[in-house]
Amino acid sequence: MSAATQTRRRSASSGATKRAPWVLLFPFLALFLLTFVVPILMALVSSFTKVTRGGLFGEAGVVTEFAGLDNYAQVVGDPNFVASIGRMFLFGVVQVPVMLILCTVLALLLESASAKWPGVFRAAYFLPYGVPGVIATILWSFLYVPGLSPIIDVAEVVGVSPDFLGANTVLWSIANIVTWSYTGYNMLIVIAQLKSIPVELYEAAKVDGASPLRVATSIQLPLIRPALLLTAVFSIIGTLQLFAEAQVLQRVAPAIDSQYTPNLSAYTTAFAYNDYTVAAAQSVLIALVAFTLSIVFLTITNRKSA
Amino acid sequence: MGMFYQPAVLDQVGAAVPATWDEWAAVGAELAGAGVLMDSFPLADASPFAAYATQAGASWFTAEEDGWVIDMTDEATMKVAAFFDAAIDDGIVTTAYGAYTPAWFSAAADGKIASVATGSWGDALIEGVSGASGKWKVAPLPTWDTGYASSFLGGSTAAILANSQHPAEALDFAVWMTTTEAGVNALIEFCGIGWSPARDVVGTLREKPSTFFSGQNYNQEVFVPATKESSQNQDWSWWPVTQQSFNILSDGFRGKASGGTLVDAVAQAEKDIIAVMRNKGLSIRKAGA
Repeated sequence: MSAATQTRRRSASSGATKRAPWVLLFPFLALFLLTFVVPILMALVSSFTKVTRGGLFGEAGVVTEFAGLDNYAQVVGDPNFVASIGRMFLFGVVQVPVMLILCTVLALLLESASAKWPGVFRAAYFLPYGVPGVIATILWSFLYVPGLSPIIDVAEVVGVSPDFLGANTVLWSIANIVTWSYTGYNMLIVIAQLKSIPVELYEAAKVDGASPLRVATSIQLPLIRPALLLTAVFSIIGTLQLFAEAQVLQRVAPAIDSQYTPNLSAYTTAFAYNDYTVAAAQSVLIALVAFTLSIVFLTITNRKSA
Repeated sequence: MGMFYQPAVLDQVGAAVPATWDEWAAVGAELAGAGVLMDSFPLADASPFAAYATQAGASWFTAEEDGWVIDMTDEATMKVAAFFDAAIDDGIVTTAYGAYTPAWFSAAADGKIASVATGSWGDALIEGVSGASGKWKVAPLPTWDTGYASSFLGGSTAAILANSQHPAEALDFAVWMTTTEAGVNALIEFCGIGWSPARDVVGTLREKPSTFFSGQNYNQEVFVPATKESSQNQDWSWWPVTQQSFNILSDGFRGKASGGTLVDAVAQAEKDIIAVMRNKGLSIRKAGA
């Protein structure tokens, strides 16, 4: 074999090596571009355009033109949309900590040495996550609607008549559904992290005579921090994207308007009002707010740990 | 529209069936004392309000040469808004739920709600109230001191899409379905709804008394007269952003729960709807401006 053929073969094989990742990546990249990058770009472009119509119904011509920041100005100037973001902020400030504390406590209990049938309880707590949000909301709505709800019936015997669907309470009724759905899921993430704590640490703690409470506060809590940060960021993003629960509960709760959550607002603007360009601007803003909040949260928590 | 009511519930306070909205409010006040609601007023759905305003003689939109003319703050609409402001404040109607919601069905079955002013199609829904057979009757819609004998709420349309491959045949079918005895009978039997636009056809089933509605021949007694041209506000016309307009209106109505008024909500909605129409590039002006 001459030196020349060897070089050629090597270069041919190195060309194939270079192509291989792209060939293997192609299915992913194609789908990623088509279903992720292109829609985002289209939404961005459309958020800067505007449709104007002539005549009584637009019969005299429909023109699409560049609108600059008009759509954004309209969205930011819409008090209902701004209120929906504020509402989600309030929701997140209360619901996310409650859910994270709950899921951490459940995870610590199930992972403690004295836990009985942890597998059964883990499955039971996780079960609500398997119920789709729409179905969960329908189930809960039967517990919220006056005249149907056994909870209200029982409460009235005691002399209180709770209104789960009132203007000031329905947000917390939604928070309850969300907490019910996602606590088990977050608990599993925390449990996974707990399981990765080396056994030696527990043994060392035992040797030092640490109580289970001390083990939890000094070993487990600091070590599951990454999992908690992850679930917190997921929850912040999830809160801003709240949609199904509010939309389904709207059927029985008059207090939920068409712009109750930011996503519901974008949905209504797009599919009830056919105002796709303004809906695109709303979507871009929702994404920006979620991104900003996540960054702010991570910055604050990182600074604290530093 | 007509008023479906439960005679036994009205009898609790010895009230006759109200013929005017003022009588309706008086009966409602007595019922409220007995812990019974007259009807519901949905804050989340503005279409019944629009129907009442239509009946009182309102005509929110008019198509003119230079575009749309809006007039939502006319005397008729403001009168209806103030009337229901008072009805809500006096506990005559509930705003907690609208008709045909799960809470409404439960209250209707318990005799906690005396009546519902609704379209002719309400019969099929009321038949879904548990144990309600023989408990409901139908009266004409109460009237205002202005306007018309009745109004309309909801409705459906048979449309042929632009890309239909057989538009002529589809049109023939739509005409047959909505105007012949056989077509309307089929609509009633298989869809449960469908008031014929043909004057002389109401459907065989609707010519006979109903066992469910206490043997009352309510379609002939109440709804046929209500569909007469003179019973309906012919000046009302629909406009391009109806869905959004109703949402704007109901978003304003929700403020009633936290101390607002329907009167203010209507005035604000008019301004918002003008802005929405302009954002769509449609031309609109306030009546008289």
